[in-house]
Amino acid sequence: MKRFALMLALVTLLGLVLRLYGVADQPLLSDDVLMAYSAGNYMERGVFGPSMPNHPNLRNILVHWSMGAFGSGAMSLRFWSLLLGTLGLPVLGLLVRRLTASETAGVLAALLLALDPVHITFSRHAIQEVQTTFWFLLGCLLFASAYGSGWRMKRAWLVPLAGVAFGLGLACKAHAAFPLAVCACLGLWYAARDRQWDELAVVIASFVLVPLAVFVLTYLPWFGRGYSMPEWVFMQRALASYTVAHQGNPMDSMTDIRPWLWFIKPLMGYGSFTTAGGGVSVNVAVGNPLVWLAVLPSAWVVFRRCLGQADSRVLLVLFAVCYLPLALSPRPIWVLSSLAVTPFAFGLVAIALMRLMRPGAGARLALAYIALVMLTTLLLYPLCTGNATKYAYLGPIVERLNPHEHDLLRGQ
Amino acid sequence: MTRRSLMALGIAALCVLALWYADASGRSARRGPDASEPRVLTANTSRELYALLSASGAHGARLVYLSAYLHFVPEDAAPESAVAGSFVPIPGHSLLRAYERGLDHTNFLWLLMQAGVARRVEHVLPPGKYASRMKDAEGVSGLWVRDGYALTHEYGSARVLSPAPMPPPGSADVVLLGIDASYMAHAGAEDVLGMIASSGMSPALVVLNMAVDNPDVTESGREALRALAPEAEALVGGSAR
Repeated sequence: MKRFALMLALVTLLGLVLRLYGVADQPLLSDDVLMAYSAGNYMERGVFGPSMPNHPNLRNILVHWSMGAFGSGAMSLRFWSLLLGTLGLPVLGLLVRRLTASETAGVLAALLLALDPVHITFSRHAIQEVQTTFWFLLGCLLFASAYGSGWRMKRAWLVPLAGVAFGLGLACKAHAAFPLAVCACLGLWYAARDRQWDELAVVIASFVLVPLAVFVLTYLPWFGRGYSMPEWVFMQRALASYTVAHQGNPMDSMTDIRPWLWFIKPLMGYGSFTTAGGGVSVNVAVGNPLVWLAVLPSAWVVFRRCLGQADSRVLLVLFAVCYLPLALSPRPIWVLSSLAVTPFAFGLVAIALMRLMRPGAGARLALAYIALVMLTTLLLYPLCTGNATKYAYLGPIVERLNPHEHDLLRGQ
Repeated sequence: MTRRSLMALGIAALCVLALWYADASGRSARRGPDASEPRVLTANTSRELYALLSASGAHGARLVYLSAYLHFVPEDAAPESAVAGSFVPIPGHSLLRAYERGLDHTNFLWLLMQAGVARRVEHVLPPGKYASRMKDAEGVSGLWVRDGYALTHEYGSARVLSPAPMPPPGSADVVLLGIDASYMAHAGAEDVLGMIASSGMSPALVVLNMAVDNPDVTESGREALRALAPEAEALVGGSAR
């Protein structure tokens, strides 16, 4: 237990360093700046936008608070992503340990997330991607922790807290609905299995009413414009319809917009390009190919080997339910949305790795793999920090995701 | 009753209370114009109309606007200077002042919604204009055509397009009524007054826009609107503060 805590703390520290290094000097992206304007618009007048007006507004509330507390600089804009992006690492470690009963798998899953260039990139941006991930991972952890062996509910008070965490996740981005649905269905299933009808009532209240109430309360600045609940329902329907039909913004790169390729095609990415002060700042979130390409084989290993282990199956179901709606979606979906899936995917890779790590040649292979993953992340790291154009070997990745007509690396 | 049942009931009660609180805080945020102000106002330009309504004290109102145009062209999501990057700290982060600098006859209704004066805009178009707009908008995403009106939204805030004012909703609401000189080229003063009276609407404030800044509005339209002005006081109802 102490060793697990120490390892998880070390992984979290590594994750913090990767997320914090040079972040105060990293030029603001247009997304960062627009987030500041969106936060002001929302908190002062209840207006959505100009950035991502169709998404929920918790990030506007948080950014407004941090700008109020720390001023309008880069660190206050990115504070919540840095904090929740880093805290998401131990939460994933604890969740995977709870679901697999393996401390090694927990530490490995947290390490893979700590080293994921996509998670690092968006922990250094003001937008809400890693914030959503943190809240739904916390919701899953609280839900899993409410149960004892054989999935019998032991600590019922944790279930409504899980509902609060899912509500906050939904208030960041709709992706949190998928793990919420999995936990709600599992909770209902276990209650019905044991014929615990009072437990069923707790699950329904916690996973339907609590997230809804938390979600609605984050709209209080909007209600301040004079709206009523029926108008809120109309607004949600209208924005959901807008989101489903959304085909991207004019400056979005239209490459790598098919999630079914995420774990098949190497180096899937999302680029943000900002020109400032005569220079160009390029941030590219690109998956570590050694990890991303291992996801589907790992899912297969877990599916084949862990059929008798109910807890590992939960991780597999979380992965499938979070991934399939995105993979099958007909509209473009960018790599930033992978953060709704990759924590569970990395949990599966961790389980597969753990199997390899039994003493012998397999263990050496697994350790060599982890070392290679670290090296690959280090090579890709300048992409996460706005320094992509300083390294020629990253040029092909940058240009592939460049939505502009000019060649950034030649300074035209 | 078990402890868990009580817990579920407690959670449910708290959640219902939260939803009720959100609804109540919204409805109570609506404000009518100050009662001390004149209840019929005349504006020469869009800028003047915006200033009058912004200063009226009205907030979260239902704004019914009779015009041949929509006046709802959104300004750029953010001025270029706002997204230039690398400037730290970010200067004053409310966009409303920047939007107001670009205020003109094409966008003043959009700005009134941005400013919070109106939470819902109902465009009453001359029947011919309404029909041609519906024809052009066929199949447009985010526009729902109903019997006698069309519903759309500005990021969830309702906009209604119709050839006649919609009947007022059941609950008490703050209604602001605007009549644009462009509308008067399509209907006589008596027709307009009759249509408003028959809709059952009871506006807290009426504002007449002479639309001097709109080059497409004719002088005869402005004359007709001036002729309507003496009768406008009779349209005003309650909801003033």
